[in-house]
Amino acid sequence: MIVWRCFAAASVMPLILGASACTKDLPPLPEVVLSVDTDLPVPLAVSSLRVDLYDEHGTWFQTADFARPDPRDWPVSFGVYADGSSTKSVWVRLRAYPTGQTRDYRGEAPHVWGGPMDPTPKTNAPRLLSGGVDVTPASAPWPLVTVDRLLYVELPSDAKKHARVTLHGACLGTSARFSNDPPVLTLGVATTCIDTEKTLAPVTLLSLADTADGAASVVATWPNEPCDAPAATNDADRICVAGGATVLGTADLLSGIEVAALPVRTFGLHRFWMDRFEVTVARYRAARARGFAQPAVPTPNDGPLSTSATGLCTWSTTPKGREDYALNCVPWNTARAFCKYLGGDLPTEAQWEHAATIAGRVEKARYPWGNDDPTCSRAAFGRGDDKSTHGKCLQFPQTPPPPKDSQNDLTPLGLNALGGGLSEWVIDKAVPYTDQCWLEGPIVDPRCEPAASDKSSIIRGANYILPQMVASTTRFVDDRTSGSYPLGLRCVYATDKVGTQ
Amino acid sequence: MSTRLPAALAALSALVLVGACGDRTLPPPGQVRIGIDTDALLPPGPGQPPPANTPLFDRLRIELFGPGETTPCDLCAREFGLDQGTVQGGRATFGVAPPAGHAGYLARVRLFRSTGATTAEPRATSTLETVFALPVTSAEGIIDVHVELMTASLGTPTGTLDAPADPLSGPAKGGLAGTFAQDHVRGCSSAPHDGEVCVPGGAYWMGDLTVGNTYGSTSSERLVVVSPFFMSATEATVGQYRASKLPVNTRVIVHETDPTCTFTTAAGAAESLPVNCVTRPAALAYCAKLGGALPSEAQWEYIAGARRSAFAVWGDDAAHCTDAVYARTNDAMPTAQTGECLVFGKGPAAVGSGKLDALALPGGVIRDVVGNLTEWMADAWTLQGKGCWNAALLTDPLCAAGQAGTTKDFTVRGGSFAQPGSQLRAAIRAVVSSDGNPFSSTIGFRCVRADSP
Repeated sequence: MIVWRCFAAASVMPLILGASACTKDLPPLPEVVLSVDTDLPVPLAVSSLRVDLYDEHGTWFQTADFARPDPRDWPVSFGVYADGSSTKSVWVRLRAYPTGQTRDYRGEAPHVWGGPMDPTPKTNAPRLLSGGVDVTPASAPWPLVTVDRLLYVELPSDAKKHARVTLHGACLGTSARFSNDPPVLTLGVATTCIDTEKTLAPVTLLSLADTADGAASVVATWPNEPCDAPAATNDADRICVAGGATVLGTADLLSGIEVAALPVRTFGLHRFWMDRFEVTVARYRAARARGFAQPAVPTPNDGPLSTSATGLCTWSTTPKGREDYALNCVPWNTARAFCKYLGGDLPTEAQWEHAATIAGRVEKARYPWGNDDPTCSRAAFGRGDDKSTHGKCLQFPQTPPPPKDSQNDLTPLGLNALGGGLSEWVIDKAVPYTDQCWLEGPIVDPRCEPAASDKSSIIRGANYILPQMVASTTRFVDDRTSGSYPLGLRCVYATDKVGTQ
Repeated sequence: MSTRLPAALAALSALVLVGACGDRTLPPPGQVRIGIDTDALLPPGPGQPPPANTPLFDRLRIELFGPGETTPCDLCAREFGLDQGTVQGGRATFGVAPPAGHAGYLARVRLFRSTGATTAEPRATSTLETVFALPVTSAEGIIDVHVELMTASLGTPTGTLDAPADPLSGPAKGGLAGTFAQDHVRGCSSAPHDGEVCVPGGAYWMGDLTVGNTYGSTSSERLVVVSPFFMSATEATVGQYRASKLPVNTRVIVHETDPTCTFTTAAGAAESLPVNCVTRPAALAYCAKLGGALPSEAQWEYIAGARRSAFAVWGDDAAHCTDAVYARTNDAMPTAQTGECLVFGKGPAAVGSGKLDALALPGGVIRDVVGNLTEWMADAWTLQGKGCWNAALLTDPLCAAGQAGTTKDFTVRGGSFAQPGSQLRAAIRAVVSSDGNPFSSTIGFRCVRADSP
């Protein structure tokens, strides 16, 4: 038998589990003290650690689930020791995941990239028995948001040993493999992801040290691309969004009513720069003047803004006093060509959602400004009225809004009008997150690039005419050839070097 | 494991650990050791078996406030997962060290449910909260105090920043752990009739904030206590309805009149299909004849969320075509989602067809919960937060017609063969206008019966 030793956070402030917890029943040495860290952000992407113990024959004998929602709790430490029986070695399965992101445990085979999201349960899957009673946990971490790591630890016979393990974001979704049938742990057969995306390596004996590794936690360092001088950069019209982990998708039903926004996934993003504002008529006109060859002309409106069929577009062949308005009535191809002309591209959904809901925060927010309910003075929305839903802000004109209407629609980084104003084109094609393209795509900078034959793309964000504000996780769809009036764009860039603009 | 306090932190923070494992070198500064006791059932601790009933809370957030402050001081907020074993053992303790000799420091302790929404901020609807004044400390020595967080006080914080409570003196013993009796599984005290399954009583979170503001109702979150009851194992079938000998006429539209209806005038191949095109009065009459009633929304959702507020009766996975009967028509709404499962048949299927649309209980299995047919409820339609939903903790709520806040419209729950898989969610509520004795090919019913000894 092997039992848990006192479980204490290794951070300097383990407020709970005070002295009494540790001094009461000090188990005998020897033991192995495991110190488990992660480079994913806590609590955004990881807030629980599941630990399963299997004996040297691969039989599951103990499980614990530790909620560690505070970054100061990482690395998480615990001791494993043999209580005098003949046990010499133990398999330790570590799974870091966001609390609540679990699935019912029905003996599902491990997740395989490109395989089904819900593989057929195995009838002979491992069960946890305690004194002959089945005490298998009812749920298990959802594989696609979990870093899963298998260790094989030889318990020392006469000394206290230490080991430090980091659960890497690159291993998200790469489940550890047991032997195939029956699914038990066998040395030489079992494989686990160590630090390389979608790559399994054979589990080898964990190397132990005589002293603890007291290094600071690496929480929230994947991908590690901070913005060098955020204050200075953020005064510019391009705002730097630091690289890091992001959480894409939501269980919110309305967000997925047009295209499914489930399952929730954790991805990495490289650093990028994003336009502070939606692209204006003036910026577009300036690009034209410098020689930007547009694939299709934005629909011009050479009269004043009005609710007539031709009066809703902001673009005009010559300036008409609305140069600072956001450009609308622009099809996807033209929008993307514009961004590429400036040395950038349209945002991916992951970049857009990250910028609107996560960048500059420790937890995901519902709207760009946070979780406060939307108001008419906060963002430009709710100015339209359809048969079933009355707009919330009908006191405003039903024409594209002037920029001042969005001045309070700000993210912590200062990105403007991601909530309302115009909806915005993103790159990705309009498929549910259950699509193979999402399931098989990369873990860092995911995207589902549309083929030329794909008719529609995703658009993100509410717009002035939409009767209600929507959560920033909402996925809308539009025809890519549509240059519709509630729809505009902003660009992202891999650099802050302003090129042709 | 580092055990030394960094100087900067010790200098400016009011929070100091009591002494972590192995920390024997630092003399204890004057401090308050706060113990937490609660009657709420929490997740199991390491090595503890999973409980039979559902843990209601899982997180503890602790914040300290300087005199007159309304936001926590720097580094004075921490969040922990809290488990049953830690509370039981009296080990849910933490030390705080306000400046010696100074009064006016406050602590706020919140025990809350971290899941159930897209953000993990403590929500008033699922938080047990107390704000209390810290005793004045000396330069050295430990003062033990504790707080008791009682589930029955949900929605009513003990103490506020303006009027803090006093903590209880002495250390926490953990004796309250898991004693909130309403959360305990309580079996039926009488025997089931044929075709019924005993649903043990318990407590669960009703409502799902991630459903969003949809179908004309704001989603909410309420702690609901349900008494044991009996529920029919399946939706009422054509054969069962025929056997009841209740009048058909206008109360049940027959297949010969409308081919989307399942009830045939003579017994045939459709006897095991759930009966649809049933008016609500017909459903009420059927259940009354069996000595029962239609389920309340609270009873239905308890089952549909597998008694633990899951997405659907099988858990939190997305639906697959063989799991439940859904997306088997796209006549009304021709989209890929509504016709996804047409290859498995069109319209309602024989009761029990959905492999995972079933909840196994000690007394039997309840089937066709979230799919096949949508079901008539006992409640009159009432917006969340109105009428009988207007409390943080509810016991056997039923918004009966005529009660304050109710409308004259009817409530239905559950998905059907006509809905996409994404809508097979236990917490989705829906309303049917009561005008003109409505019926639908997508609506059927099942019955419940009180457990009366």
